[in-house]
Amino acid sequence: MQSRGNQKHDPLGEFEALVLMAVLRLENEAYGMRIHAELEQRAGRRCSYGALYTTLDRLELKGYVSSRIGEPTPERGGRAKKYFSLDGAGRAALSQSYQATRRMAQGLEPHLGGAAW
Amino acid sequence: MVRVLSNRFEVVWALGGATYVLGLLWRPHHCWIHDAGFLIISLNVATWMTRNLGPAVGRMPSILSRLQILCADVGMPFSAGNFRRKWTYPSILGAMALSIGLQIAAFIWSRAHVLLHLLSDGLSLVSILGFLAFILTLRRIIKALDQLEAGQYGAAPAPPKSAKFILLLLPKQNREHLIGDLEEEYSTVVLPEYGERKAQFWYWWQVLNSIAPILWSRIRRIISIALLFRRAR
Repeated sequence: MQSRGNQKHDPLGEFEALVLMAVLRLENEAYGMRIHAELEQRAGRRCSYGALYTTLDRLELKGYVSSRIGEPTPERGGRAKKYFSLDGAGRAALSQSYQATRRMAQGLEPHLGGAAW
Repeated sequence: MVRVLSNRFEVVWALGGATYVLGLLWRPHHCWIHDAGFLIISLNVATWMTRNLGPAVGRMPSILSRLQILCADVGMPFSAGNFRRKWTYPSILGAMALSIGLQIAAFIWSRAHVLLHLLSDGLSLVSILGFLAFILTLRRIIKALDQLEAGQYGAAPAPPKSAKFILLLLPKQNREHLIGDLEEEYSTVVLPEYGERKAQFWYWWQVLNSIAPILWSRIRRIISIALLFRRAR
């Protein structure tokens, strides 16, 4: 799917945004297990691998991420990794979602326990 | 039925079992039918053992000496008692042959020799139990030997196979990657930190958690198709 430039993107769900951020943060190391661990460590978000892959598939279908098959390793029982990377459309959608959250949160810091955006 | 009775031994086993049950149902008037059934089963077990386990038993002394050498190499204790197991198989076979002999004697002198019957039945039962124990021991020894030779002794336990089997329900597109991720986390993170039992529980929990949404979405799809079809009619 092509990037939509400055077009409005499909709004991201909270979990989708977290997954995109994890993919962005992990750069070249973004595969299932690492994304899963990142979500748990940074966001405290526990999810099943099934839910994670369903979300990643949906994001790929929307054109926000793209995937490539990596090398098989012995600790994975000889199975290959599937690496994900953020596409232009995904970056734009994430930025849009982040800006929207930021705008909405502006002035609400005292109510949100002093959380800075 | 055809698949179950796929070879001669299974047919004879079924025949012997049926005769035995028939004899039991008609007892005491048709005691010889029960005896004949028992005899057929015993002879069949003895023949099967001789044919199928013979080669493995022939290899027992060499298997055990190889095992001893390998154990010495890696500094593992090896009980000398294991060598005595090479006598287990002939003993079982001997007990079974004696039991069959007694059964034949009891079959010929039927009612007059109840004690002979009981002795023969007991001996057969003991020899069948011994035979099962022998097979289990043999399998354990051969498995340990294979592991030692492959240098895998003490290797990390693998995730439960049955759980992996359930993962076949996942869509093909991501199945391999998902199983790979689960296996990697299992072997590199969960197993070293929590031990085998908790790691296996964790694996099962992940599998069920991963399968549940997919199964639910399939069920919903089937229900909606069924509802659409009903409305269209």
